[in-house]
Amino acid sequence: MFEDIMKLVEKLLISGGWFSEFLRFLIAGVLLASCIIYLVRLWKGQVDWLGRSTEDPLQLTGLQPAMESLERQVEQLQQEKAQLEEKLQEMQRLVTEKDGMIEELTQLYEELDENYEDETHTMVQVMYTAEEVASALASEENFYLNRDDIFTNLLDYLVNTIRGYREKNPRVAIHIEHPEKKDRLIHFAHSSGHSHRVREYEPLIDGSAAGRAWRTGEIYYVPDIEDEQYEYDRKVASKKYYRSILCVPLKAGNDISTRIGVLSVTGKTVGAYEKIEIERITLFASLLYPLVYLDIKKREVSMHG
Amino acid sequence: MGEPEKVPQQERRELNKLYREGTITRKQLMSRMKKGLFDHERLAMKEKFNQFMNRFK
Repeated sequence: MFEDIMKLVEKLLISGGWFSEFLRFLIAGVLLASCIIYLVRLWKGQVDWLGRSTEDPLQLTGLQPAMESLERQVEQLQQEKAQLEEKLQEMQRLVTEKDGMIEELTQLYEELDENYEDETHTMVQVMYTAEEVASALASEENFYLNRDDIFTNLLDYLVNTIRGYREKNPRVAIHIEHPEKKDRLIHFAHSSGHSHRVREYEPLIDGSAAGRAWRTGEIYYVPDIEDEQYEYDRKVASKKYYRSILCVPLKAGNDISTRIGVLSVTGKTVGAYEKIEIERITLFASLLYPLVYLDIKKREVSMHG
Repeated sequence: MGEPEKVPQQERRELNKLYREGTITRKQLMSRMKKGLFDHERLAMKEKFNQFMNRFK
């Protein structure tokens, strides 16, 4: 069959004529079309300059599962990274929070330690006060020789327990019942820091802070002497020197009949005294009671025989 | 246990005076008046606390 076809073609080519022309044009057209297609594909990047395809469908098909697996792994790793970043942020937040708590704890401890130190300091002042009161009671002769110094020193121990000494400038005075004037109290002792005029002041029993404490037998605190709701002797008020005053009756326990005087502490600032200081001052009033009592009784004996 | 070591009376008066005059601070008055009296438990606790805090540094 093939041989028959080839013989026919041979005959046609040898004989010349239209077939030969047709065949040349056909071959030229096919070659031209092939060139154009090649150039277009080359331009599009579908083949290289040797005409080889740049896409290898067989190879791509083989790599597809591996690629998909890798993509899944990448996605998983990105998710894990996001989770780890979230955990890291949480940890950082916790660390910051813990640091803040440690700082707060340290501050609280320091405040507690400061208060503890203040309490132990007060204990020491109480101990020395008790010791000196006992010495004065044990040695009356020495007490009467140095009475004013001893009281000044005892009241200074009380002042030592007050916080913010420089701002408050606390001054202490003790007044007792006036031997002659029924409406007034009289100076008995004072701490350092007072002028000599402290001895001259005789608080009214009705109309002064000390008088109020004396009358009622109860602690009377005036946080601001300028505040008219409080009972205070405003004729002698001197806001230049102090703005608050605390008056504590000297009595044995809660029995008002045992009162013998009033211990007053002034403060330069408004609301100078906190609860703890008021309690300490009350403690000192009790500590000083025996000595003041002894002194008053001695005076009465010497006056009335 | 022996008698606690106290500050002599004269020295206490001097300390009171120095404090009033502003020559010494309250902290100094506390330290010199106390000499550790009533303070050992506080100091021991402070030491414990400092050791505890050192673990976080």
